[in-house]
Amino acid sequence: MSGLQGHLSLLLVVIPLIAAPIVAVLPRGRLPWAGALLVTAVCAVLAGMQLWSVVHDGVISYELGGWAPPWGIEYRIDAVNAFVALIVAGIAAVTLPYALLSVEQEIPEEQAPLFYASFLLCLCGLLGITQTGDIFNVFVFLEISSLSSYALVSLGRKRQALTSAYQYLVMGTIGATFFLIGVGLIYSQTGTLNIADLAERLPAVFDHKTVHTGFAFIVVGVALKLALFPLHLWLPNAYTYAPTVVTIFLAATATKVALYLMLRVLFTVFPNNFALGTPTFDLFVISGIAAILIASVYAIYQMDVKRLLAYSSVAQIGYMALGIGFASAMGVTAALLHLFNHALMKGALFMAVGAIIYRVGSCRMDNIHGLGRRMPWTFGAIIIGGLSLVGVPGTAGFISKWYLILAALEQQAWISVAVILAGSLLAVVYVGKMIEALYFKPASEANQSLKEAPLLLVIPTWILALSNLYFGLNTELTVGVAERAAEVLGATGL
Amino acid sequence: MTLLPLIFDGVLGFTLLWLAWQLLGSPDLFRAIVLFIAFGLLMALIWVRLDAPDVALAEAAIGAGLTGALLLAALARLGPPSETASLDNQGDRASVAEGGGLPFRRWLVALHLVLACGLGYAVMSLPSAAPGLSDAVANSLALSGVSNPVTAVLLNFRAYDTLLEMGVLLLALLAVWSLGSTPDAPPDDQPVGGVLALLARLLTPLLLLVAGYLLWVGGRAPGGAFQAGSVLGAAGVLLVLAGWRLGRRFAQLPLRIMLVAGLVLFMAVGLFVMLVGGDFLTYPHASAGGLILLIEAAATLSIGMILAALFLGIRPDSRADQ
Repeated sequence: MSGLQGHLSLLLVVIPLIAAPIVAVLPRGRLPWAGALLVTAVCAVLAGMQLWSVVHDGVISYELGGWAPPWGIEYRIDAVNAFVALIVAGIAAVTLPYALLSVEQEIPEEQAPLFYASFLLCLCGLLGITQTGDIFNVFVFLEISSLSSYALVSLGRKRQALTSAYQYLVMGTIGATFFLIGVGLIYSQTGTLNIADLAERLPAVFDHKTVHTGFAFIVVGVALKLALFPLHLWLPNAYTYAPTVVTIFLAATATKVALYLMLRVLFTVFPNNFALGTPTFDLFVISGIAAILIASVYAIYQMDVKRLLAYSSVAQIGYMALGIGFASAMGVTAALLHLFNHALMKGALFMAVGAIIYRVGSCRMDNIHGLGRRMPWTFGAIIIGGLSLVGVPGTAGFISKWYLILAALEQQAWISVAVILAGSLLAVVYVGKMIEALYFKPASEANQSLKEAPLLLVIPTWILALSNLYFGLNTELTVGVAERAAEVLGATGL
Repeated sequence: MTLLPLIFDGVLGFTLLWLAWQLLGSPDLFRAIVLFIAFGLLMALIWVRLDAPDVALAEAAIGAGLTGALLLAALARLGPPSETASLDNQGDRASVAEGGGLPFRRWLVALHLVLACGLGYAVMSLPSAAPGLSDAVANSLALSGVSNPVTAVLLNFRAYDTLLEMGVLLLALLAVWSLGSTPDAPPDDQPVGGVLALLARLLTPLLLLVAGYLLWVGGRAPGGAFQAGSVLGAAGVLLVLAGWRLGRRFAQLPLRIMLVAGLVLFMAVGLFVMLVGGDFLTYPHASAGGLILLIEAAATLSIGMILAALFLGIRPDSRADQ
């Protein structure tokens, strides 16, 4: 391996890792932000190059320390990781320009270098989970991304941010411990930690109780990180009380990476349809249906817009779980599509809400009356994001729901079809509630004089809002990559 | 002959479980922390019995020692127990449990028992001769630059994991600092008693010596950066308790540099070898031993400083009264 090209996959993870301590020792002011901005931009470019390289030249394998797997650690990049890594790095790159003003307002100046250092470590952890081909290495990156998430959430302005972060920490640690116990069990059966190697050695011991136990522990552990219903209890508080930028970034990436990890475990680590012999997929369908219906209803009754969107996230994760639960190529394609599209819509929506918080200082329903007229651009982004959330044709949300319905029809799962449609109707209600408060309620005295949010907030919001429209019309790229990724995962053989 | 170790292990195991039960049920936080420290020490003994002296050292130093110190420090900052807490202290355990929702707790205990039984069953049905990577490690040990297989795995074969763990440790400190200014522990502002000051003066050089020894011996025998670092951290905790603080000059940039030195130097070595033409962290075989010692030395310093800083809890440069 030589030159930059050969080390691409490594640099993607190592650059944020080395930048984090440097950013942490930078003096106060805008320098830490500028450093983080540069790093996220570089990472996004590298992730783009990586996806291009994987699509054209095939799988990338990188041996860390020059030791061959299985006892050395390997990075193994195929279409799935490259796709998810690009989402994570891309969202980070769009979030950072937005961060400048939002962080200046929400986070004390002396904490800002620490904030950006934690943010970069979180990025490093999430990218690391996607890049690595070693299951213990996954755990280490999981620790990095989770710990930094707890730190980031705890920086929220209200005191509840601390309890939310603590709640998240307790649940997240249980998830990580379960994952580790599971990894330990399958290691003791196979004597390897490399994912490709595990996939070869595990089928020989599939009948063994230990492997089943290990599988169960890993799946439950990842489900906690994924906020799979009913293990989602940490999510609404964490998203509501975290600083705006953190909510945007975590909502658009963290659960997505956990979903990626879940797919890897279900299809790659345990190959040959091992999971089909367990009740896993049925549980995913039940959990998905429950998430879509219950969390959507909860969303309708929320009085805080951030919390409303957080419950909506739980419901949207339900759609992805449903897609996986169909255990078909089409279902996995739909889940991956929704993974991407949901990152776009929730990113746009949380950014727009953040712009409102920037101006008003709150996003409670009764504080935002009439703001739609005062802040037309922000309001426009909320409409686009909301339509995408509902799944109106022409938006990205429509594409993933369309594929999800196709996957359900393929198996004649009529209940699931009905639930997907009902979920969209419930989304109409909670999106409508936001729009009603923003546009149709008369503005209060205090809100009369408000202006549109600064450009630095509006532009990133609109980048994501417009990509909701772009990927709703041009589906070639996303559907192509998602189908290919489903193929790589081996979901086509189901 | 074989009966005695079996009895010993059995007693160890049951005492561990009993301690865990006692500490979970203890309404008195101070007592729970003391039990927790005892739990950690017993756990370390069990690791020794399992032929894992490296883990035992880490468990005793970090699991029992530093975590215990952190918990005690947190308890001191909580202040005197409130009225409800002292009521809990007087009542017996059953009444406390009733106050906290007995059905819920029973349900929780039952759930855990099921989980523990399932896990126990899975572990019991493991093959006795577990397949592992020990042979592969043994075969490549000569190339690793060290003769202690644990150090070879941690600092060479899977050096990347260790590098990331350095990041985790630093992150823990960032997270604590992000929480902002915590109220300082009351003893900090009071003059320290003569015995503690004397103890700190006597023990600190000894601890430094032990840390240096553990660091040096890590290449050949149980020891290494994490163990040495935690001993260094213990020295730091002792100094903090004795009322000693970093001077203003050192509390700013020099401290920060020491905190990140381990991670940054580790990465620098990893990236430097790429210039010579290898992959990340591919040490040339001839200089592997030296590079590992260099990385471990920096890591020891950083780990010690981070652990002591975690104990202090607040950013040293944010103390206005220094």
